Amino acid sequence: MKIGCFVETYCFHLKDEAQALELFKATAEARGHEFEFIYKKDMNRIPEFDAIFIRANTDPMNTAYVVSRLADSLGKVVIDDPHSIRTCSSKVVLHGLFEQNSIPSPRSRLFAGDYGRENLDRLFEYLQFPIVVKAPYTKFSSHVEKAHDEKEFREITARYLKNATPIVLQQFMPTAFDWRVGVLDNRVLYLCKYTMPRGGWKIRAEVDGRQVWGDTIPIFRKNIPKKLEEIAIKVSKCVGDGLYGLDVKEVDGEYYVIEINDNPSFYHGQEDAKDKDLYEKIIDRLTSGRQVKPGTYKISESQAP
Amino acid sequence: MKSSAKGDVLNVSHDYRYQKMGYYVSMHAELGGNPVTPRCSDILDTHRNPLLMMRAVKAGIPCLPYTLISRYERNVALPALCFAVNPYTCNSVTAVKSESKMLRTMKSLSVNNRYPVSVQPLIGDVREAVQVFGETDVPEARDIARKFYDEFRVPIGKLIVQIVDGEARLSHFEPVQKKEVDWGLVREKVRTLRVRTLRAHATSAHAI
Repeated sequence: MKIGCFVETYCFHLKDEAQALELFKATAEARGHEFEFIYKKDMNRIPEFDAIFIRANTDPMNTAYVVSRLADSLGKVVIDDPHSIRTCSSKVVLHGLFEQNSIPSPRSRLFAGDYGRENLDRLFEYLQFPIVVKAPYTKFSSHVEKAHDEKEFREITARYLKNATPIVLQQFMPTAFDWRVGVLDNRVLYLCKYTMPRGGWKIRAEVDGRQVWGDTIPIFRKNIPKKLEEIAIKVSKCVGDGLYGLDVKEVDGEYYVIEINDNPSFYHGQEDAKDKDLYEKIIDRLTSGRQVKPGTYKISESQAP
Repeated sequence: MKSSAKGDVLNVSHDYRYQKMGYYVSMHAELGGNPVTPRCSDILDTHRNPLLMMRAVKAGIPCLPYTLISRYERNVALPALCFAVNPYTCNSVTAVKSESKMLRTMKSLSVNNRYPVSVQPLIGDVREAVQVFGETDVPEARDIARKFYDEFRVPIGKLIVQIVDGEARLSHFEPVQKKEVDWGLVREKVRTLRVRTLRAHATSAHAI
């Protein structure tokens, strides 16, 4: 089979990410498939491929969404599929998904700019300072800030509301790490702990004016705590049977889902350090001939063109 | 946006672009589990030229062929009509008749090679047809406007068509400016739909 891997030049800037992409290609070829990196200039060639694997950043705003929707419409197996992109890219959609499916997650509220005293008091009492403010469309912890008091809350929310309404407010849940559970086809694919950098509270944080990332601690997927596995699978089944990376916090033995991401990142030596078969499993899913199906949480979807 | 009302939602706006209020109203309705017109996925499809073209062709709407390019290319047949394939696009239709203009157009519409650009042959008269619930004042585009609304259910928007040998062909879709819309016609259409919906409910209640 012929797999087109949609990338942009930035996908090769970091050595570990470029190595992971080369491993996808090598694995596909070792299994008798063709694997070609395709770029924006190759979009007219999508019909040539049996499957499309998107590695460029996804968001309905990006070209990757157009690639995904075109490929999906042509009946190709596409990871990430357009429904998963639309669901996972928006923190506002995820807020609704968690609420409607009783997914344990930090207390959250949508905020559309009602600064009335009564509303603010109710929000502050429910969420307690510090409050995490999230723009609907964030990647890699960008556009996520912490408000320690009402003054900061007003400043940050006003700034975010200029670009999008509503935004998400969330209870702050300090932990030393986030679990990253990789899920494919509603099964656990890999497991890591993404630690917070020293002095930071997000996996990517600004410490002393510099952008720093926390360390990744890989763990064999067979060692995943049962409760964590159950929650991760439950959430993935709400979205679909594609490829996802879930961020989960653990507090006193309880798990709280922060988000489910489509297009999870792969850095050689990190996510793949323990369960090295993840490359094979993803390639096998792409060449299975089975299109990714939306899960139980269905935001209204148009018929495939 | 604060409303938590349940039921069918008709979202009427002159601009449904991604992350604009028109889009968020539909998203908000969908999140609440309400059937909404237009749906977010339809909005996204109409605002990305290759997705619009692909669905329009399948829906039997006469269209012009397109090709996607990501940077300036010498071998593009001219004259051509170019459209931005980015989510913010508004008034991006550009007729290109020379290589030098193509170079400038590509730079601008691709936002410095960030987004692809859809290129179609420029072979007819280019017309803008504001469609409201499938109706338009442009006689040649009436059939396309009706079919467009049947397929995408986007109540208001601008259809860019080319008239080739007296027949209109769809090229593109864009949001309209408020002043371009006949709001009297919009109100009349909404009233008609409302009456029709109420009658349908009354009939189904009577049947029960």
